[in-house]
Amino acid sequence: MNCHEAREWLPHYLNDELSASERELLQVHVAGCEACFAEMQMVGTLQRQIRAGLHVSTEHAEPSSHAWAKLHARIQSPRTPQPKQQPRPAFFLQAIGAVFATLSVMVAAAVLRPGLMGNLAPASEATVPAQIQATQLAQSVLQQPASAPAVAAEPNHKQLAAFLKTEPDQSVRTAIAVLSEADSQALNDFICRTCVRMQ
Amino acid sequence: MENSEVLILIRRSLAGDDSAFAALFHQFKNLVFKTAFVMLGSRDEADDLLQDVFLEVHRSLSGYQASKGAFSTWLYRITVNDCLSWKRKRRFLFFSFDECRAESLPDAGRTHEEQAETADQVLKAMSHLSPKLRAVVALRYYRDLSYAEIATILNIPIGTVKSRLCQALDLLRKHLTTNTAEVIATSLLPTQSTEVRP
Repeated sequence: MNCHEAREWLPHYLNDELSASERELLQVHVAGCEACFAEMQMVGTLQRQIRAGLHVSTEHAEPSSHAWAKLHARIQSPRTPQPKQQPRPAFFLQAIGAVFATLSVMVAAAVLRPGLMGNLAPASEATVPAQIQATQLAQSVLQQPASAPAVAAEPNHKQLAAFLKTEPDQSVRTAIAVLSEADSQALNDFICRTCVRMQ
Repeated sequence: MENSEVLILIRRSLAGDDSAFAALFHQFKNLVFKTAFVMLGSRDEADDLLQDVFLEVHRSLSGYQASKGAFSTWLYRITVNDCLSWKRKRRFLFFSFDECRAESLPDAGRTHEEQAETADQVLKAMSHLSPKLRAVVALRYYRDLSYAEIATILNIPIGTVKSRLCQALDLLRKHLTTNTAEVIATSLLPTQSTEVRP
């Protein structure tokens, strides 16, 4: 055993947590090594100091006198009903939702400060409600699984498809294209899927 | 209290006997409170944590299995886990050393003053440890639990207990040495009554 190993074992030796063979090895080393003997005394003093310090610091610390009364009241109080947890949409849908949420903010920003969105066409007052409506419709439609049968399409599908066919302003698509190429592709896939279902 | 008595209290508590749960609370409140106090360093936070721990105990008492360990071990696990998540919630920033100091000051007596000073230094050094290291120190040097018991409570191997303890001791030694040096240096500073040269 060398000094490095001995010093690693010293706290565990003093805590009586070494096996008999380990203990014997350490004792033999320390008996012949003054530096490790001094280190053992130092670690022993340190451990005593820590132990004493922790005990003295908590000697006068007590829980508050009304701790039980408070706890009892909490136990007796009827539990607040937890809101029923909705099943979490898949990560993909969450990502698309986030894109639409961002888009809504951008549209709102464009209303407040025309031209703020750089290369995107500033939204006119007439088209903004339509864009927001489209965003909300798309969000609700995207909550549907892709595998849902066409016959189960919600009225929202029809509204959105109609909007996408008739609305000349394409700033919704453009904004998404600027935000993320991948998400733009996802939106296009969704539009195609929705239109096919409506046919 | 014997383990069989604890089991009777648990059984009665599960049957809806409030007085049995009150007896459990009073029997183990100091175990939870003082462990939390050493780990969090604040009486108020230890009080809040005491509430949370026993609320959790009340709700999950049916989940305690005597065959898997003593009730106190189960209680330590809940307490330490709550302390660790408590610290996470507060981004590891809070350790009220000043409050510990006030708590540890005894009424009178030179020996007590010295002990209180040691306690101050130890708690100040403890504030430099991460919550995980603090948990190992609290369970070993405050609760005198064996490495095997600490490993069970923290759900870590005994080797990890050993390495965390060594790491904690190194840090405590470093900070205690620094504190002691500061105290000595401060005591050697000239007082205001020292003659000042013009």
